Amino acid sequence: MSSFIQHLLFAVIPLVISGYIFFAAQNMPASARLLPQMMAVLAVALTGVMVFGAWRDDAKNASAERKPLLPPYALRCTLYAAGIAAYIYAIEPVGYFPATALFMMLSFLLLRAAGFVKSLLITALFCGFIYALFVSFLKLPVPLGLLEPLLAQ
Amino acid sequence: MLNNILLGLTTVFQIGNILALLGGTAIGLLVGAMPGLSATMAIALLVPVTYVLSPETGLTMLASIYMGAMYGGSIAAILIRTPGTPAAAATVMDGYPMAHKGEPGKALGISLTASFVGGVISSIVLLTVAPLLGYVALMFGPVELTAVAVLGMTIIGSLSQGNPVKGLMAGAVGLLLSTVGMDSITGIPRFTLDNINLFSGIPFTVALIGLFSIPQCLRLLESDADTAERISTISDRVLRPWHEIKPLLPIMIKSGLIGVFTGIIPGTGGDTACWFAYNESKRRYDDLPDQPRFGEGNPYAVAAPEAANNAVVGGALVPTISLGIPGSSSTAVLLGGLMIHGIMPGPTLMTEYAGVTYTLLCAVLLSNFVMFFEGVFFTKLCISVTKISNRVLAVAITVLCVVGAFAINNSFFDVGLMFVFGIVGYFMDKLKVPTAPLVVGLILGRMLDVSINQALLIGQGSWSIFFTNPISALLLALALLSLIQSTPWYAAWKKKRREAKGA
Repeated sequence: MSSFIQHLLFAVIPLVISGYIFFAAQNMPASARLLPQMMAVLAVALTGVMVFGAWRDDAKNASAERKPLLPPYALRCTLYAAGIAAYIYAIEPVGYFPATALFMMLSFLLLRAAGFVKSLLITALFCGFIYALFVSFLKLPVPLGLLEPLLAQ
Repeated sequence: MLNNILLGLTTVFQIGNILALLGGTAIGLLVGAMPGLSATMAIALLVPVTYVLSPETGLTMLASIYMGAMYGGSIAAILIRTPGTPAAAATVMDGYPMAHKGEPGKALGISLTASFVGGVISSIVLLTVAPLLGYVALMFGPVELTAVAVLGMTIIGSLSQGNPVKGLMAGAVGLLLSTVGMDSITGIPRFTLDNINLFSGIPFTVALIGLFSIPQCLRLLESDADTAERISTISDRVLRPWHEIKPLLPIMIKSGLIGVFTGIIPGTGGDTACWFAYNESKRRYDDLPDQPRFGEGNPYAVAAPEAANNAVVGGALVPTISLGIPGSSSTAVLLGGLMIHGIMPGPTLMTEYAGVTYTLLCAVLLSNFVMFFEGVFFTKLCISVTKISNRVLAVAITVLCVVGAFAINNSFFDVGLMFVFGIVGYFMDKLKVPTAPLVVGLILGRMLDVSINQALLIGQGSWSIFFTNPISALLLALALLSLIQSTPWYAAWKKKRREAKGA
C-alpha cells in the first residue's frame, strides 16, 4: 500500500474527531468552544498538510520498488489485536482469571511462543502473580465470573 | 529551598520509600534489559499500582524505574546487539564489539559508571535549577501560562523525531481530546457522546497505557525470530578499577551536561542525547593510539552515550517540575502519576505540593546510587531476562495493560478506551506520527483551556494581551522561532548559507 493511501486512511481519525468536535461546539458558550474549535481547525489543516506531504513523497519516489499491499506480519498482528478485543469482551461474562488464562494459553500456542507444558506453567505463574498483586495487595475488584465461588473472599 | 530539600531527603529515607527505590530501580533494570520494552511503557503500566501508595512513595518508585531503565537499556545493547531502550541505540555501536572481544563486564561496567555520573550531574542540576525556575514561574499569570503551554506544544511538536507537521498534528489532536468532559469554566459537559464515563474527561493514564504499551506488544510480534547473536556469559568484573575509569571521567561529565541540556528541551530525549554525545566523543577520541577506533569497541564510545541518556532524566524533569511541561514521554507519564494523586501540573508544584515534589527530586538523586549498587550486583542476572521470547513478553504485557487500565477507575469502558488508543498508537508508530505530542496535548489541554479564557477575560476579549505582556510575547516569539526552524524553508536557507560560507 502506498504511503499516500496509508496516510489518507489514517487521516480519517483526526478528521472525524475534529469534525465532530467543531460542529458539536457550535451551540456552546464562547468560552467552552474557543479552544476546541481552534484546535479542530488546526488539526484539520495539519492533517491536510500531512496527507499532501505523503502524496508529494510518493510522487517523488514513483520509480522506487512498489511495496506489497500489506506487510508479512499484518495478518498475525491483526489476529492478535482481534484476540485482545475478544479477551476484553469476555472478561465481564466469563471472569477475569478464566478469560486471562484462556487468552494467554491460546496466544502462546497460536504464536508458537512455547510448548503446551511451558505455556501452562507461564500462564499459571502469571495469573498467580496478578492475583497476588492486584487482587490480594491492591484489592482490585476484578470480576471473578466462573471462579466466584472459589476465589471470593 | 534548602528546607524543602531537607524535607525531601528526610521523606525519601523513610523505609517505604527506600523499598520503592530498590524495587523501582530493579524493575527498571529488568525492563530496560528486555529488548523492545521502554522506560515509558514500564512507568505507564505501573502508574495504577502506585494508586494505593502515598504520592511520595509512588513517585519515588516511578522515578527510580525511569533511571534504572536508562542503564538497563545498555545491558541488551552490549550483550545482544539490540538496544533495550531507544536511548541505548548508540551504545550498541561499541558496546557489543567490546563484549564480542571478551570484555562484556568491562563494557557493562563503563556503561554503569557513566550512567551513574550522568545521572548524578543531572540530579544536581535538577535540584538547583528546577526550584529556581519554579519560583520564577510562580509569578506567571494566565497570560504567561497560555504562552508557556503554546511554547511547550510547539517545541515538542516541531522537535519530535520525523516530520514536524505530524508532531504538531498529534499535539493538536491531544489538545482536542483534552477538551472532552466537563468544561471547567461553564460546567457543561463537552463532546461526551452522552456517555457518563466521559464526563470527567478521557482518563489520561488509560490513554498512556494504550499508546505506549499495546503498540509495543504488536511490534514484538512483527518479527519471526528472536535475537540470534548474544553474549551468554560475563566472565570479567562489572565493577571496574579506578585507572580504567579515570581517563573516561571528562567525557562522562561532558556527555552528562549534553544530556541535561538535551533533556531540558521538550521533545528531545535520551534517543537524541545519546547520538549527540556519541558524535561529540567521536570527534575527540576516535584516533587515540592506545584505544580501538569507534565502532570497534572504544570505551569512550560506550561512556559518552550512557552518561548522556541517564543525564536526560534530570534534564527532562526540569520543565516538568518547574513549568508543568513534560520534557519527554517518560516525564509525561510521571506527570500522569502525579495527576492520579490529585496533584495538578504547573508552577504550584514547587509550593503547594513542595513535599511531594522535593521528595521526587531527591529520589532521582538517590536512585543513581541505588542503580549503581544494583547494577554492580545484579547485571549478571539480567542475562536471563534478555533470553525471554518476544512473544511471551507481548502476551504478558497485554494482560498487564488490561488489568492496569481496569485498575484506574474499575471500569471496563476504560479498558476498551485503552485498546482503542493502543491501536491508534500502533498506526501512528507505523506512519512515524509521534505519540509524545498527543500525550503532552492531553496533559496541557486543561491548563491551556482555562488559562486562555482567563487571559482573554483580563484582556477584555482582546488577543493583543498576549503580545503586550513582555514575558508572553517573548515566549510566543520563541514558539514561532521553533516553528520556523522546523520548516523545510529554514533547512534550505541554512544549507544555502553553509554553502556560501564554504565558497
